[in-house]
Amino acid sequence: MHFLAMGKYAAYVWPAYGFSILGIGGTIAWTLGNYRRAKRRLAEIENDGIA
Amino acid sequence: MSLDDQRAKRTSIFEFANPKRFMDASEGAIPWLAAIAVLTVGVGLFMALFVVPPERYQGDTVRIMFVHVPAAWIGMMAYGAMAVASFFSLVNRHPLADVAARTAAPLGAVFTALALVTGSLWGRPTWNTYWAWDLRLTSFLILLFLYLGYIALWNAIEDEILAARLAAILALVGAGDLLIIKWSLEIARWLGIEANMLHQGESIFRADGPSIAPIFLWPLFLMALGYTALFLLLWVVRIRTEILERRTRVLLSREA
Repeated sequence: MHFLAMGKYAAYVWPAYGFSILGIGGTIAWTLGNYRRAKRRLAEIENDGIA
Repeated sequence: MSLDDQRAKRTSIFEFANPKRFMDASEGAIPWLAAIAVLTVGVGLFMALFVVPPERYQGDTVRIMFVHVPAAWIGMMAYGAMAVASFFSLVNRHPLADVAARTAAPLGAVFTALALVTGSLWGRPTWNTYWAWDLRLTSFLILLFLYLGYIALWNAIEDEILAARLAAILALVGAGDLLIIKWSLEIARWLGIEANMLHQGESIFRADGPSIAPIFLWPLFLMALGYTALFLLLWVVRIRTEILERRTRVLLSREA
């Protein structure tokens, strides 16, 4: 219980960790999504025999 | 072996500025960077939340340090990397330098924004305010605006060569802000406005050694290492994405 309450600072500590996880997690998902899309698109074009 | 042969054989950092070589070399680095990031952030987070005791004066708010300080470091490091890449873009006109600078910007903006938000959440219980126009905080907010301006400039100009040149100049001029952030306390003292400063001075990289206890230093070190590996990993993946997209565009234009 003390852990969740963070002393009396839960209202500051948990949002700081929450924003960090959301911000970094979102950036990872966005970066990897774009990478996979770019790889797939290039593979499609190369398979079409353009290369 | 002649001097020219030695020069030709030398593996310098510039050899990786060749897109093909970059693609080959970076592929092997990806799993290593991912492993370092997962391991160090995992252990760092465990220590930050479960091992570190509440600090004598700050209580549990000290745990915010482990997500705030590494984010601030990466926010600054990414700008430094962007400025160096911009320098080579202007001097060598190498397209990979543009790609490196351009892809670092959104990552730097995210980490800078996180440093500002977590710092604000740390400031409320310790300084009794979410924000103050103190020189460190203000120059850090300017860093975020520099990133946003840089990204906007790239998006606003269609001519890629002109956009790269103007963006590189903005990145280099803005690099002065990094010095203001780093030396904000000294500058405030010099200007006689240190009474307005809320942000504390340097506590890690001090001539007389870090001023914080090892129990806090270890998780901070692990988190900083993890954030650095994560930034490098995302940066490499974003550069690779851009190279793949450019290749796609070239092939499509050949077809047309």
